[in-house]
This record gives sequence, C-alpha cells and structure tokens, in this order.
Amino acid sequence: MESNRFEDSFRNAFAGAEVLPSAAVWKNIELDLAKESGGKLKRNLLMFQLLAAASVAFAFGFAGLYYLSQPTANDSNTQSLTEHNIPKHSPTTEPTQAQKLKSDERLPNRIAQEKPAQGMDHVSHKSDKPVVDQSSIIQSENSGIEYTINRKGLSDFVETKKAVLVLPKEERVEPDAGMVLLARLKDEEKKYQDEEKKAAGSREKIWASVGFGAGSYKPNVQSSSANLGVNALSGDASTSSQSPSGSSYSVGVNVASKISRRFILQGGVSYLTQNADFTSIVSSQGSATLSEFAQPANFDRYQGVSPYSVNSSMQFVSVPVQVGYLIVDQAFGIQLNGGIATDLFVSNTLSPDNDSYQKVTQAAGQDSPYRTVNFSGLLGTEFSYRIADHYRISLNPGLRYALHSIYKEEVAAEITPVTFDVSLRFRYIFK
Amino acid sequence: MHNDRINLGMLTEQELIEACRKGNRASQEALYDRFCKKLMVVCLRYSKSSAEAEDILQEGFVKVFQGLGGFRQDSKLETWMTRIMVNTALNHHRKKLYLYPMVDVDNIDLPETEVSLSGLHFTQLLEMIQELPPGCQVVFNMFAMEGYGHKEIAEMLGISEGTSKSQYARARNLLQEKLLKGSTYYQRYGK
Repeated sequence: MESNRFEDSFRNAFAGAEVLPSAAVWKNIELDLAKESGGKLKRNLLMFQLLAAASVAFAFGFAGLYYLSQPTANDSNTQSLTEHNIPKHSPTTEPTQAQKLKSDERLPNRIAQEKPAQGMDHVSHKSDKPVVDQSSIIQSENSGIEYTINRKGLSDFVETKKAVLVLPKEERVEPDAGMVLLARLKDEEKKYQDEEKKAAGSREKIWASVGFGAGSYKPNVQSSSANLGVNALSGDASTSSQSPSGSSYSVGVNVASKISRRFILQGGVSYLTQNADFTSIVSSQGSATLSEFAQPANFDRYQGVSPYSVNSSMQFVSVPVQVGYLIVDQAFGIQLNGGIATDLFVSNTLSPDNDSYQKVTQAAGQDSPYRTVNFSGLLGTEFSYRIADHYRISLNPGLRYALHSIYKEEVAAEITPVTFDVSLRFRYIFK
Repeated sequence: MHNDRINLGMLTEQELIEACRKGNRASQEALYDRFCKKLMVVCLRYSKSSAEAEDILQEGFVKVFQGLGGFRQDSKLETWMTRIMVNTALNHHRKKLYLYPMVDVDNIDLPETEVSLSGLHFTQLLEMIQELPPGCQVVFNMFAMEGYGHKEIAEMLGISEGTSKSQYARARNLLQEKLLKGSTYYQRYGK
C-alpha cells in the first residue's frame, strides 16, 4: 500500500512538469530531418540508377538472345540443302536415297525424309513457323545421321515429347511434301527477314525539310591599314589584328535522298544574313565602288574621322550540296554531313551608328568589290528524331567556312567568313 | 511568420498530425513546441545531465516525425511520443546498463517510515532520480513513472524479472534515504 503511495506521489509530483530545452535542439532536429530527406532523395536516385542499369542489362541480354536466335550460316546451308537436295522423285526411281544420305558425312544436318510420325502430322498442320533447325536432334537408326527439327511453333504436346524418328533399315525414303513445303517456307521467311532488316534502316528514302538557324559569325578580315578605302568598305578599323565577330541567321529548305543504305545526298537553298559590328575611322561620302578603290586618287574622298561603330549586314543566297553519312538510322538518328555551298552575294549594308554618316548598301555586280559567286565548305552533324510516320525534327550544329575571300582579287583585302550555327529543321518524309 | 506560428499553435492535435505527415516543417515545429517541454522532463528522468537529455529529445523527435505516418492513434499522441522518448532513452543507455551490470539484491530492507513528497519541487525529485545508479534509475522510471510491470521491464532490458525487482527496490531505498536525509536541493531551499 505504502509502495503504491510512494509511486503515486512521484507521479503526481511530475504531473504537468515542464522543462524548456535549449533552442539548439529544434535546429538539430531540423538538420536531421533535412539530412534524412536528402538521404531519401539519394536512395531514390540510387534506385533509379539501379533501374537504369537493370534496363541496360536487360536490353543487352535481350539483344544477345535475339542475336543468338538468328539463323546461322549452318542453318542457311541446311535450308539450302533442304530445298535443293531433297529428292522429289519417287523412291522407286532412286531406291538408294537413304544410302546416299548415309554416305554423305559432310552434310550431317539433313532433314528427315521419312514419312512423318504422328507428331510430324501435327507439325504440318499447326506450325506456321519454319521447322528446320538444330534445336532438336533426331537420329536415324539405320544411318546414324542426325536430323534436326525446329520445335518453335509446335504445340506443347509436341514440345514435351522427345521426337525420335526411326528409319527402318533399307526402307525406301520418300520425300514428304509437307516437310518440303515447310522447308521452303523457312527459306522464304529468312529472305523476308533479311529484306525487312535492310528495309528497317532505309525505310526513309526521300524527304524535304524547312528550317531556320542562328549562330556566330566571324568575318576574318585581313587588310592593310594603309588601304582606307578597303577599310571603309568592310568597316574594318585599321589592322588585321582586330577581328570582330557577329551573328548569323539563316532560313531555308532542303531536299535529301538516300543514295545507299548509309549515304545521303542533299541539297537546297537558303537565305543567309551575316551581321557584324566594326569600328571605323573613315567616312565615305557615298557608296564605294570597286573602280573608285582601284584608283588611289579617290582615297581623298575618305576622310579620317573619330572612331565610330558600323554594322555590316551581308546577305547571301546559298545553295548547299552535301553528302551525309547515317551513323544511327533509327527513330533517333545521327548523321554526319559534309559538302560545299555556292553562296550568291546579294548585298552588304553598312549602317553607321553616327547620324552624320549615311547608310551604304553595296550590291553585287561588276562595280561591287564583292564576288557574286562564292564557295563555302560545310561540315555538320544532324541529330534527328522521328515524331510521326512522315515527320522528323532535327537539330543541326554546323560549320560554314569560306573557301576564298568574298572580296574580288582587285581588292587588297580579304574576308573569309566562318560561321558556326545551329539550325532546327522539320522534315517531311515522302517515302 | 509569427502569425503563422500562432495559427499553427491553434490547430487541433489531429490537424497538426496531418500537417506533419505531409512533411510541413512549420507544423513539425509547432508540434515540437507543443510537446517538447513535457517530453524534456521524460528525457531528463532517464539522463544524468541536460545535455544528455537534449540528445535523447532530439533523437526521439526525429523518430516521432519519421514514425508519425504509422501512428494509428490507438493511444493519445502524447502517450505515443512518451513511449518513443523512453525507448530512445533505453537505447541510449543500453551500453551503460551493460557497463553497470545489475545484480540481484536478495534482502532489501525497505524503510518503514512513510516519506512525504509534499512541498518538494519536481526538480528536486528529478535530481534525486538522476543521482541513482544507471540500472536503478532506468528501472525506477519504468516501473514507478511509466507504469511498466517487472516482467515487461525484464523483457525490454534483457534482464531477469528478479533483477528488475531488486533494482527497483534498491532505487526506492536510495530515494527514500535521500528524501529522509534531504537532497542538496532540499537543503538549499528547505521545505
């Protein structure tokens, strides 16, 4: 009794007792909870990584099994032999057919030509798959020759029974029409599979695409500081060491056709704009022409002024011709492209940011310092994805570099633009 | 922010549980605020110092938040949380219990005199409990304060029922002696 009172007294003394813990406790709890949730995230991540690894392992395993299940060269020989070597004549005309088979040790995998057993009848009715393979071995009693029958597609009953075909000694071997037919079907199917395999990679033959691109542009100006006229044309400051860079935009259409399983020939037309800002220290009273620059006396027209910014905007119509190589030709495709583009110069517009100077546009022509026809090398990669039966979307990072200066030879300067751009294209596949 | 805390403080226990289950940190803090002081006392009873008690409280609360999803509300939330604190404390002390093996004490002379706790502040009693040997402290808390039977205590601590009884008897004896002679608190503050 006293004991209970003692315990009750203690319990009562502590009833409603409270002690405030330090503030650090909650902070530590928060930290622990944060760590715990981080750990959970890591565990989830690990789980996804394991899943990904398992998927890859499964994919490889599946691919391996698929590869192993493909008919081997031996199978092909067997099929070929099956179709061509199975005698179709009556055994009465060739009574020693079984002996022939027996003696031919180089051809161990011949198809049995005995009248079908009960199971074989079943095969001919039920199986819609090829039957000749090395998956099951049947031995002939009299010849010791091993025959093979593929059990794929057979019913469970046939699967579970071990098929033993006994050929009576010296009995006439009669070709079975059903087996021959199945062997032929096997051949046909193999041919069909081969064609399918080839067709899978080359289903898309001809397509057209529209796209637009943007990227960086480097004019690569090389000029003499003495030639103010040229500098005025290009807007270049004075030395070749100053190499401004700008932007490039393009829009165009392309048509492509497969010329082989992996190679593609493609061409098209696109409109290019290449912009760059220069600093100029000369001013022109108007549009400069090649004839003016050919005569040093005309340099007087160009006055030295304080540096000002000039925007050069060059327009071209480009006709690219490229050869592509398909590295990956599936739903996701990777293609390497290389080729040449014929760039037809349209105009160059120099827009000074100073209101004191006029905007100048240099068009193509005899008097233009620019070549009308230019050639550029093209190099790029194309990553595409089939979004529907007839449509693909692609991303094309590529390099375009001028094979020569876009100035005419008479001009004592060179501009060999290099452009790196990425274009987005929508492809329509005709067939 | 302050208003949010006030609003969370006004939530019912059930609402608070639901919010904590969703991992809402503010709700977890509100739940902590609501129960930490009472549970700190539980932890102090099983500890030798405030720092040790805070370690247990921290670990226990993390377990509370982790296990709240599985709380079936068969018992009151406070009872469930107290049980978690006790279990955490027991885990905390398990090694110490091995370090201080509990031996059976066959003959314990319990004082016949009745000891009154009236007028004693719980902190004085707390200090007395904390001064008990580890084994006695744990068994006393489990038997006298939590209400476990000796059989349960024996199972939970992996000792014999007799050891639990003898440890409790010893604890009680020591406490009664302290109460009679007066603890440091008793001496300091008087009745």
